[in-house]
Amino acid sequence: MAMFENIGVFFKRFMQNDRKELLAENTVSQSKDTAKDRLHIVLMQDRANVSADFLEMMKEEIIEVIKKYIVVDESKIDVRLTNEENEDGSIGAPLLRANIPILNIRNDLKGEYMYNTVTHTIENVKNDVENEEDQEDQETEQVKEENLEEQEKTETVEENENKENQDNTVEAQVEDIPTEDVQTEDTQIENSQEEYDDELDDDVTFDDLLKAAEEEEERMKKESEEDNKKENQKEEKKVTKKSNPNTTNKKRKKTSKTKKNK
Amino acid sequence: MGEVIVITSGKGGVGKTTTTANLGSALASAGKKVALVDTDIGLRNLDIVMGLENRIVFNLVDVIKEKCKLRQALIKHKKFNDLYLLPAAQTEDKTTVTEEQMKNLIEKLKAEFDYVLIDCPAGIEQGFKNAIAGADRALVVTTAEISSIRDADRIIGLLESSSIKNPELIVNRLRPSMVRRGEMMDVDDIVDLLSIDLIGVVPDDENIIIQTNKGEPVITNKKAPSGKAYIEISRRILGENIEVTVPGKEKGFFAKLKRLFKKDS
Repeated sequence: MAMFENIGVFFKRFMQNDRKELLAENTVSQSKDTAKDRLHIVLMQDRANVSADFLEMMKEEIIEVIKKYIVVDESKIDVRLTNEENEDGSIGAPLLRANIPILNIRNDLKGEYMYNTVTHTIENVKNDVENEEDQEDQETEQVKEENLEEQEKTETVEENENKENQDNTVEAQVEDIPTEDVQTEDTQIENSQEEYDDELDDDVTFDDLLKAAEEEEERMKKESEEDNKKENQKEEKKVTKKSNPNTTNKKRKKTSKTKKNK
Repeated sequence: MGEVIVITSGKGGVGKTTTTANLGSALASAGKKVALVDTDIGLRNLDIVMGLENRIVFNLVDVIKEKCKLRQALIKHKKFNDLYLLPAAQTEDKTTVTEEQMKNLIEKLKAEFDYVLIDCPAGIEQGFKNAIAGADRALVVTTAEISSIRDADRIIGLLESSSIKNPELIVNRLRPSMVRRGEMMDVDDIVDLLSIDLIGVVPDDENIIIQTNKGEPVITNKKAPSGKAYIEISRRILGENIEVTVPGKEKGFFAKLKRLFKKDS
């Protein structure tokens, strides 16, 4: 008989559980939640009020610390333990409130401590500002370099197009172009050396030398930027043309320029 | 040198005396020499819960006032080896004894026993202060009701400002069916609110009433769920590191199956 009772209970529970689950999502907050919330608040209040002296001691210590930095009107200081007001008007979490009217910042002995800390702080701020400025400068420089690189990329693209055109239209002229145009870097340097020597032999002036040196510098710069560009191109895979023709083009241009200046 | 444990709660009627009786009996069953001390002077109950009310000759106050020797006042339990009770006085009140006197008495007991369990009275006045004087360790008993949790919190605060650090929590009279329905706070909620370590959870059990009627500790009933919980707590006191079993959330297939069939678990 007991067994049948138990089976009956079993099925009842089964049904109850189902109903409970169905209702669970629609239930208003249950009593245990109310108890928890109430207890939470009550415990905080009880704990804070445990010692009547507690607040008094804390208030005095707070005032002592503040007095180090500023002159206050002690008679008007108000430190109290209250509660927050929630949006729905109910009482919320405990709140320590301190109203401390300031009369003046201290200028005396304690002020020396203040002075040191203040100057120290000013220096820190200065350093921070300088660092920020440096960073900004670096950033603008980087941006400038990037812009340069971009410019040169577009230039290279144009050059490549030019080269294509040249190749397509005037094949015969390839032979006319002096051999020094189809160059590697090494030969190019040798050539420049020759040019340099040539310049010396032709009663060249100091200004010419200066100009040549400057152009040399420029070219070295451009070469390093081109190297960077080459790496970028490899990474980005935007410009598919190989880099060698580019350098040759560049160099061809350069040599023609130097030739002009002669 | 033994360990002195005070069982306290703040709120009355949550199960301090029952817990003291059963933990003491469980520890004695494990082979330890245990002394139970009832400090609820004027409203003694540990004697009647243990079934020893007819064997009282001398009490705590007699010992402190030196009307008798400690040995004469201690009552040896007949069913448990090495389990002794020092009863409280019924005609005096809690202001009769000072903390200093209590401390001296407890020192003497500590020297002779493995465990000294002190049943603390309800409240926060002299009775409480006497009970915690001389204790090494505290167990705070609470139920899942809002008033006992509030009082337990106060007691924890007082314990922490005394020399007893790290009190441990026993949640008593838990009703898993109500917890499931959301009408009783669960153990996690209580531990969150009180923020102390949990040492055990004891379910609400009719057997407690039945056993107390007979004057026997509930651990003697092998089937009683509360008895099992007390035994588990005693093992933890002895140093075993076992996970706290929360009634209604026992793991294992058969336990879950049982829950489906039982009415109120």
